[in-house]
Amino acid sequence: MDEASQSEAVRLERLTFRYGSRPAVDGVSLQLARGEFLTLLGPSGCGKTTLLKLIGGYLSPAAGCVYLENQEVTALPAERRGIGMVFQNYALFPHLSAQENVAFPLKMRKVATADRQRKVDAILDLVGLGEAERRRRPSELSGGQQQRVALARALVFEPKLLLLDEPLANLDKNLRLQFRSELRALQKRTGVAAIMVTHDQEEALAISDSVGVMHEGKILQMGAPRELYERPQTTFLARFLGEANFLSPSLLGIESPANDRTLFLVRPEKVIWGDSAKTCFWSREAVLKSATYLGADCLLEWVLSGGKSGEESGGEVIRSRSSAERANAVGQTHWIGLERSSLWPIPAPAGAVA
Amino acid sequence: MNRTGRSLLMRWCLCLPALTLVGLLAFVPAAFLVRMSFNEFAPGQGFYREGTFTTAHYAGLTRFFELRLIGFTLLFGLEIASLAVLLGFPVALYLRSLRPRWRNLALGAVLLPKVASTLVILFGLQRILGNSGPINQILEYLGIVEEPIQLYRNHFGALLGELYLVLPLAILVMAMQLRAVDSVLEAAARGLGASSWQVFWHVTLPLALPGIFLAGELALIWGLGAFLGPLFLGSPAETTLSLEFFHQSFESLAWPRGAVMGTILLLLVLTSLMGYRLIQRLFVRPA
Repeated sequence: MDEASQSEAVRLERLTFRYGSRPAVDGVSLQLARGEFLTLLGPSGCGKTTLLKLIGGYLSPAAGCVYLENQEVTALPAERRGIGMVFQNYALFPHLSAQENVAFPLKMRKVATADRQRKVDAILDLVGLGEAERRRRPSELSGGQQQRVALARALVFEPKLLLLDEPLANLDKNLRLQFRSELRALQKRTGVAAIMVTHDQEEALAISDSVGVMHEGKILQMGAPRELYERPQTTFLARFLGEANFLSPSLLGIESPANDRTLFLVRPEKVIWGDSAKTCFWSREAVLKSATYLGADCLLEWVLSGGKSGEESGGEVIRSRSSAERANAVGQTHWIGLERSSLWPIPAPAGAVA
Repeated sequence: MNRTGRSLLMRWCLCLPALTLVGLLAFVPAAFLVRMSFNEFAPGQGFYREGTFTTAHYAGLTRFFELRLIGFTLLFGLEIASLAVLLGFPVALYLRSLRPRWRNLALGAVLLPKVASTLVILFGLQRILGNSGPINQILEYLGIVEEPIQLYRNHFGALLGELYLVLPLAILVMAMQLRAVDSVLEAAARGLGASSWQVFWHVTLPLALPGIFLAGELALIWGLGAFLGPLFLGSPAETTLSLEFFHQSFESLAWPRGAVMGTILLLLVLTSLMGYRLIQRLFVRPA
């Protein structure tokens, strides 16, 4: 066995699942190494949760295979896969206390009582659930505490893989940010491979080793967060991962072999404005049409001034982000500019030009 | 009056019709009943002598007949309660496993006996269980028995008749509780390594327990007050307190003695329920 396959945690081969005749998961293949954190990102209904359930063994695929540490498990039911899963609403057993919930998988595996208690205590220490909370029922715990219990329960039996279905969706924003880093730290510490499902692109980019964007049952692109954000393969991906400007080569004055079939992606935070913009690779005068205050920064919408030499630029809107202090009065004209390095070519979608 | 005060008053007003009904039809008659059990007989002048007080009717309670009557009623109630739960729970589980459309249809079928008149059902059962009924005919045809066997006018018949009246309600109550058990919890249990049996034992059953106990409680109350089943399908050996109450009051016209039976039944139901709740507490931890 070669080194690559030894370190493999999970591999999917052309996995397909249909609800009726509609494919919810459509021939998905992917590979995940041990210790890696993969996030499946996509709008609701894209099949990401279904894919998670297929990996966990809660659904049977219509076609394709699931391998877990190089063993085929496609036909194995969930209880024999040894995968830990955190459900969206945590699915804690309401009739059991927090520590009984965490002890559940060990009890099912007939782990001796003393050993069981030791492991439960250790994992609850790790996820940071206070002593007082451990005897409480789930209904007596806060959302954050329930989250910790669900995570501990999924990790306590040292699973080969950890599945997380929108684990942070039910928490308020502050808690979500805190948990995001805690979750990542915990995953690194335990060394378990993890697959998380989310519709929050910021969350996906922040937490993962790699991100797969799903749409209509397919994984459109998979890669490191930075690669995905800066070098998306389609305009859909570019938009889904964040705010995007798409500029035509003719506007930018770039000769391209497939001129009318290519657009250039520019992320708003890469747009420079003010006097320093004049020295950029490309620059223009533009009128500030609107400024939306977002707290940490500002989203500015610029309309390019009528072209000097009658180019087709009139009415083109470019969005930029900059610090809130620089948000000038709407209606003023400024220079805006772009560096060559912040342009990323994407094939234009058939028909419309963005 | 502030808002909470008004809404509280509103709630009381909405409860008033039901409270009046329960008060007039249950508590007031119960109080009369208890009072009447201490009245003297009035042979030839009416059902009882008003304004009198005697404990004589209770003196007979230590006799074998009365003790046996109380014992049998309790036994019958417990039998009905356990049978309703044991026979009903698998049906409730089965109902849950069906797709929604079939589930509603099947639930309707379960409740069908409640739509028909009770008397029709009990007369029907007499025919079915009778010496020339289909069951005996089949048994004779198959050569399993040579002569018709007695299927009613005995303990079995009384239980069967009463169960027919109780079982649909018990199934309904348990099916409703099972419906409230989130199937995601069972999926989660499987994912954590539980076999089908372990899922049932550690998740489904404990979560269904409140409904099981409620169904048992309903069946117990019903069974302790059993009247029609023993009357139509039982024998004199299956006399319950309710039946004896009826005999004393409406056949012997000894109202105070009937009232004693009623009072004893009332006490029996109350103490049984208290015992039942104590047992329930051992199994169902308060939420």
